[in-house]
Amino acid sequence: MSTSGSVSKACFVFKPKAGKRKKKLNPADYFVDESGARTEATRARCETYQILWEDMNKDIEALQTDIHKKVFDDLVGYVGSTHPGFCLGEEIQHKVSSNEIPTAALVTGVNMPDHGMIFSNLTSLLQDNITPYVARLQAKDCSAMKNIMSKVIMQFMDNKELLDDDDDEVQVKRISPTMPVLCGWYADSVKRSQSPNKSPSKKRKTSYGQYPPLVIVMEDLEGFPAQVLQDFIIICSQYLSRLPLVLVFGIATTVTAVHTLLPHSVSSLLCMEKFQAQPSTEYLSQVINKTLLSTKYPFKLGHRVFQLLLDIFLYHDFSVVNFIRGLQFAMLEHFFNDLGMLCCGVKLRTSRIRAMDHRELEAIRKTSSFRRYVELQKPQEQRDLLLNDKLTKDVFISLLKDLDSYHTMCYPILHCLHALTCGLPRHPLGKQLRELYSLVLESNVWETQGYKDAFNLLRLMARDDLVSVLGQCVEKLEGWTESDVSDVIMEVQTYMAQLDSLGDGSQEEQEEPEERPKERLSKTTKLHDLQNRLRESAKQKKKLTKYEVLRNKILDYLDEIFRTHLPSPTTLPLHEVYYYRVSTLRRHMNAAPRAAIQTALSNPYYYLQDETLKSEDGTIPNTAPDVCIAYKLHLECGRLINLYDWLQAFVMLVHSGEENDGAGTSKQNKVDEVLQARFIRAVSELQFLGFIKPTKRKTDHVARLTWGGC
Amino acid sequence: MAAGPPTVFGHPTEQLADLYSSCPSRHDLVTQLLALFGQNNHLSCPRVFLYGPTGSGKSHVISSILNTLKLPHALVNCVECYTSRLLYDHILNQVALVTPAPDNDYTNYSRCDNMNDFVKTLRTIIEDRELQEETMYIVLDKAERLREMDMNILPAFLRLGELTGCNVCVVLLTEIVWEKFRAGTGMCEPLVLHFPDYTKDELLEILSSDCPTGYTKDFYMSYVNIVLSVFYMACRNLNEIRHLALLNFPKFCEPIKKGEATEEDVHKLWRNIEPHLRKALQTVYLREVSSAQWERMQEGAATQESSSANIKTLTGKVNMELPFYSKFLLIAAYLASYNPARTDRRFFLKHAGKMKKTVQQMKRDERASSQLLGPKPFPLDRLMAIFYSIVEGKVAPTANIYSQISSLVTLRLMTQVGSDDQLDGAKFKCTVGLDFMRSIARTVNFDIIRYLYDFV
Repeated sequence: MSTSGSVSKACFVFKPKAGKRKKKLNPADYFVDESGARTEATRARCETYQILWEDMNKDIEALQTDIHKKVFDDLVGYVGSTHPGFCLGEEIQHKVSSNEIPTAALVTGVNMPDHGMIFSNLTSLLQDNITPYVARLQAKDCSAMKNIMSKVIMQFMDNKELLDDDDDEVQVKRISPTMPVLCGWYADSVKRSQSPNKSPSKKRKTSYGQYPPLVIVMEDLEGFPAQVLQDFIIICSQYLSRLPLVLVFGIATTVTAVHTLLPHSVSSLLCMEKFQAQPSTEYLSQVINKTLLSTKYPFKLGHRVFQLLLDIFLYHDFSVVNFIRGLQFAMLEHFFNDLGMLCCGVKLRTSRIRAMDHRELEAIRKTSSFRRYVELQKPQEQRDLLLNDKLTKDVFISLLKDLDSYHTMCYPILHCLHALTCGLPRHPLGKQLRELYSLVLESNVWETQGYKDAFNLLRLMARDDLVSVLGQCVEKLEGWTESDVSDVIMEVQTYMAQLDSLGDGSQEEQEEPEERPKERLSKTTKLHDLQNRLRESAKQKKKLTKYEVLRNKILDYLDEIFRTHLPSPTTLPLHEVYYYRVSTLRRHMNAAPRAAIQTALSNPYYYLQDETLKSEDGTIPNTAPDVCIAYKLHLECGRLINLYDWLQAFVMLVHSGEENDGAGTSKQNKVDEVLQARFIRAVSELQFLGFIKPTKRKTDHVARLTWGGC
Repeated sequence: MAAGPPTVFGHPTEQLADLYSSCPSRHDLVTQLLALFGQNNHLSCPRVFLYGPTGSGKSHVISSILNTLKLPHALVNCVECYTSRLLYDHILNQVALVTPAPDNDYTNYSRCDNMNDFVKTLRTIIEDRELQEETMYIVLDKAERLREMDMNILPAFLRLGELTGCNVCVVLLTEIVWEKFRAGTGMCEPLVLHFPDYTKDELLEILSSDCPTGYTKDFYMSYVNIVLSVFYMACRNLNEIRHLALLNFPKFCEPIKKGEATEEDVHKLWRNIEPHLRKALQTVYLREVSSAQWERMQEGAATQESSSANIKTLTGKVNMELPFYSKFLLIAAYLASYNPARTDRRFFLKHAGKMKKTVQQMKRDERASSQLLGPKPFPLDRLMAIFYSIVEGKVAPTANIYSQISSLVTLRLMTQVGSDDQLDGAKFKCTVGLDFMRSIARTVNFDIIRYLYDFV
């Protein structure tokens, strides 16, 4: 922020805050009850949250390395094979005829926030398997040739592997960052790693080759200045005979980005191989499968929160990292709530319910789903449920058990429904499992139009397709070991066997009824007769073939299964214990700073909650902060604002509440200095917020930077 | 100037034979240079300027001469020397035979900050090494970079012999002509030598030296001939053709390995390889595939015969996925870049009325189609205004939307022009092409052509 260009010419003093160190807060310190005190209950909630999140995070991290496993393995293999004949001997030096740098172009997709994680995984993988020498470059550090060279050489030579057994610390700062230095260092480090007097007790994690390649990873190739990148590649290719360099380009867009950055003469120095990373949508599906569509974790997202996180992912950033962060945030919020207490394993939950006091029970009784449940009971039971704590506890335990068993059945069946419908034309229930899951979270899925459409389409399905789709269903169901879906599998398999056994018989029967009317038709000669016959036959309900009967039977069965196992969780009592449904998440995850600022300026009451600031008709009272008044006034102006007029209006407004006596008129000529200072300050604040800027187009004017207003 | 006598300028015959064989097709130039350099104790031409296109063998010839004949020299690529100090250090280190190593704490021969120090130090080194009697060669590759350094560097290097008082020969290698170097004063005219492009025959001769083991030279020659016949029109760069020749050779030999043809079966081999070379022609200079990947692709092509589609995916057909709003932001940026601001009313206002292009306007547009002129900068406000009018539904102006703009800038799909102060009304340009834009727009069902002024 340049203060020098400020509208107000003044001197700004920033005193260093001496000795005021931030007190580091423990996450547990945030868990407090309404009165702000930490109690046993808040501590328990915090612990449950931490354990749950750690487990979940571990799973997600495992997934992260898994998802890119294939492309990473390929890439690591490629890097390992790039310099097969490399040798530092004198006589070989001229042998390397081609000066092409082996380059791996890793197309990562545009999910910028996730890149850091991808590359640190890749780096550690390379360091474990191929070479200790990996340098990571980011465009923001490499604005000039000098920076890029020193970054590379620092990272290579600062290598811990090199320094751990020496006492002579290399002082990189003093060394000029040039390639000959790197050559000297590399030759030396190779020699040292070969020398036999190295202490045998010190074992490396893995044995690298004799000449481990020097890998330079450029994480965001698009961001590099073209000239710097070109020069760097030219230099690297010069030293290829003495340094086994390998480049790894992280490309977010397409491989053509390389050609927009590099001219022919430079790109011909590269020998590129392309590696396509998994799209982040795939990764997201797996994360959702692992965390939300699993009985392992009791915590779930409600429909609106889930949809919000999905929207942010699909519409804004494609970033799984942000999705996970959102998930974590939702979880944290959930555990702030009293209900979070019970979001844990069965045993702990039961003991916690047993230990609950009356106040805590009341909190749970107030949940809307439980009240709905109570209303459905008989009057006597209703009273018991509301008054008898002991009975309520038992009911809670059994209800939550029901929820658990609902989850165990829901997910396999959900997968089954997805397998059944994902191949249908125009995807009435969504192409991805997450879309279907979102539908289920929202309402009972069988009441949606998509479900009806899907079943109508299924009822028209040919036999081969149906068999294959059912096969997929069975496959999906068999993948679930922790839930008991063997009945469903058995049933579906029986149906499939029946479909198979229909064999050719069904086709024969199919043909028969068709032929008879044909014969009859051919005999008739009169047009009128023909019309009548056709009308009759149309009226006659077409007799269903065996296959069609069986198909309907199968689909009716499946429909029944879905209706029993896939009700929306919102219809189940006490679902609030597991499902986080508060929609304040939007404010946190998808912040709108501009809207917030404008609200604050146009309606200060919203944030300050001061009764004197309340106004109905949108006018601003003169008690409002100066900056709000200045803002309100500036909204009435055009692109250029005359500062003097603005000041006059400001003074008028501030004085409007006071008695307008003779002193007011005399003030019009000469403005009170304090008021003027207040005005200048308000204007500078507006400039700082980005609403106006100084302009040279007209003297004593400032330019508006926002459009709209009154 | 024949290269016949047993010792030319005091160099042993074997070394000369080596030299000539390592520089095929450049015998004349080698002889000429040797004549210029003369015997090692002769005072040789103090400055030589060699220029020619890339891949014409300038650096190769010079380094072969210096290395094979074991002449004292320093060979520096000016790209590496982004400051003048580095240039001095590199030359001095090489002349003094110092290489930075752990033994000397990676230090240079001596600290040298300006031309004056450099000249002095150079003289001391030459005296220390007792090379006063010999010529010291200092080769500056990519010499055009010297022009961007301090003003005094180029003139001083051209007069290095005079300044040091030693027998120094400075050789400048570059791709551009000497006339472009003339700037400022104190330039000494060097001796200019031109390296012309290799002719087709010369290319043949050089390429034939790559012959892989296991094949006769004639056979490889005939292959190279075929390669040249396809590529010569498109590309004359030696390195590129060499790369292509080696890349496709295994494919060429495939029928022989399978036993379907013999080495003499030239016609059959030609018919086999020709379509593959034509395909390779599309990717000339691109280097998007390594040789291993190319082979895999060729194998894939053989099995499924839909290779054209295969190549397309490799040469970067648009297959980029962007978040939903990023796509609309990019479309808005494109529209703002290619439509004149005065036409925004017509495209984005609901009741702007049908405005027709007048004849005069049409003529003006014809002269200056914005598709030909390229993108124009636009302020952020305009981008957002267009974005909100084309995007469906209500989109809150959240931080996420704004961060997507900067994300697009880092991806180089848009660039920021002018000041980098966000408050000062940052201006942007959209840098993607129409084809790319259309494919992006298609994925969100947006008919971009209808909104482009040039196509109305």
